[in-house]
Amino acid sequence: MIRAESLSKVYGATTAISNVSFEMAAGEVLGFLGPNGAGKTTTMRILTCYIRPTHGRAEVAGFDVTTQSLEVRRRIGYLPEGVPLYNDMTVRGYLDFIASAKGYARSQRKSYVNSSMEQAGLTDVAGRLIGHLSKGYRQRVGLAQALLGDPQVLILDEPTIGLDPQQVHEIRQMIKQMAQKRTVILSTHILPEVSMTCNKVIIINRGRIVAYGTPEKLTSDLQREGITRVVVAGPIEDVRRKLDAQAGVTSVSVARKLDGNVAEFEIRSRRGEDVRSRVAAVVVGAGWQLLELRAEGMTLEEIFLKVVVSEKGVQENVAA
Amino acid sequence: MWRRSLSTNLTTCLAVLAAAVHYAVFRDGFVPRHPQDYAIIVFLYLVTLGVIWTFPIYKRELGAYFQNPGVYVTLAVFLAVSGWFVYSGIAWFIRLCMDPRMKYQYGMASFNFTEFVVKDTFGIISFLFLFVIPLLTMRLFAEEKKSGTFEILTTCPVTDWGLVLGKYLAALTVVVILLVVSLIFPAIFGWLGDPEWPVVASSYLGLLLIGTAYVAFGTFASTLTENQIIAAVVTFFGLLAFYLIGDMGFAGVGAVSRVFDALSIREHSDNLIRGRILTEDITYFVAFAVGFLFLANHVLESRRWRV
Repeated sequence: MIRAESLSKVYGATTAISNVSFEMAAGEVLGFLGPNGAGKTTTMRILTCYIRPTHGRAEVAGFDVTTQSLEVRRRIGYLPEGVPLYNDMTVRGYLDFIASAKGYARSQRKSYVNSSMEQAGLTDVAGRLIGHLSKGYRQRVGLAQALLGDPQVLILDEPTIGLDPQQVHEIRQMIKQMAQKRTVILSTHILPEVSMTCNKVIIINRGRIVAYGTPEKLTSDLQREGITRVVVAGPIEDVRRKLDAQAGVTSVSVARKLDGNVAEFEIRSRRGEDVRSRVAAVVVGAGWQLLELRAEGMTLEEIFLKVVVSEKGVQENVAA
Repeated sequence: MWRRSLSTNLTTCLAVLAAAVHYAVFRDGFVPRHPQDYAIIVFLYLVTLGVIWTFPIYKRELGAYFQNPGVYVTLAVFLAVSGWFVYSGIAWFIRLCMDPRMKYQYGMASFNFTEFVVKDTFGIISFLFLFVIPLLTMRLFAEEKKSGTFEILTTCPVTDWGLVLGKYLAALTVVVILLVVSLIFPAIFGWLGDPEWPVVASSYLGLLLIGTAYVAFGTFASTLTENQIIAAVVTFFGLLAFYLIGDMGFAGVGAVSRVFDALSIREHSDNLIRGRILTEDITYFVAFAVGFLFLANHVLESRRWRV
């Protein structure tokens, strides 16, 4: 559905993105992850035909973004960063305008506007001026605008930024619903959003793709060691030494002392090695009490930090 | 697919209609012989096409104008200032007529109302356009660029020409409304004096053409920046330069001076305000408008490649 081939955009001396390539099948939800200024917006603007790439080419729904931009624009819904809207129009008037700008005849417009207002939960505020709406509702108007005419591809730039937790939750639910029959690209710098809504992730930093894959793949690829946390009641130093001696364990440290001789230990083990059963057996065998045992995966947050902070280490690791 | 075929059919129908109207109107009198005649016809057709292509943009833009208090203030100030000049013009004309010494001084048996009042009024209105039109056109593109709504607009399936013409025609419509409201002055002239109506009509044609040209320049200036003040300043000084360029030659002699005269807005508008409709003047204003609309379109196109 979407194919980007080594896209680059250069503004004078600064390179906004360089050599960005990826591919998406219909129905996928792609999350663009990266710190501010990484090139997320630039990439999206190229895909929506707002700007043209300096090098490389991109295709949306089989049409080239530079040579067949009208065809591409007919098939996308786009929510730009910051949700720019006309404050002096009513919600219905605005959506009707966008529908007509998208080229729908009067007879179709009404039903399109109504259905997108319904999907975005705007029916109650249809007659109000956009300038008088709260931020959450503005965001909904932006989404409704992108949904008009049921486009195959939705491109959403930071759809949940600046909303309160309740609104963020609502918008995410809406995006999930929309994603059921569409191809969606969304950008964010909030990590849980990606693991919650997307089935593919691109981590982009300083204009380059530094990691690309499903959230699970990124997690497993980047995880060089397993972390197991245990809480044990027993002589702390003895426990530490005993655990350290187990096969597969690389290091053990006391994470925190809880109470007298109860402590939480952090056990680092080699990648792909599950030490949980061995740890449990050892603890119980020594007559200590095992109070808690859990394996810790690497969260996307950690991956992201790792990727963004030490770019080199990652590129060796991730064969995207 | 149906969408495109529908708009193609509509376009064809309108082109045929426009050709029929053109034939009916110009059948006897106006036979296009010169390139500029064709330019006029092409422009008329472009405008017609622009209206269908860009109807949503045009409609929204016009709506936005009348949501905006600035337009009412501009309209009010324009009418107040031009109304003051109409009043003082008539007052002066009354003094002229009442005072026998004036007749002696001017060496005339009686004064011509059209010459002394009507012509001056329209001259002043055309001058006021220099101040009013930058205020009307400054927001066209600059405002949308500043607020970011431009991004949604240009990612809709609308061509750059569609945007330019839609916005241009909306601003031009406001100018036409301004002119319609100013019809109150001819009404007053008719009530108080005996103006020559053909001169009034010719003046209005002239003002419309001046508006056509000025608004095109303002549209162009608004595409250049996202700062409305800069757009207005560029429009004002740009138009002022075209207004005064005739006075920059070498006292009316030489080729340079003739070129400057030919470029001058005042040179061409004066004829129309005196009641003389010349093809060269019409061509001048139409070419001025078309030229700057082309430039505006080019600026929009270049944006995709630059920032």
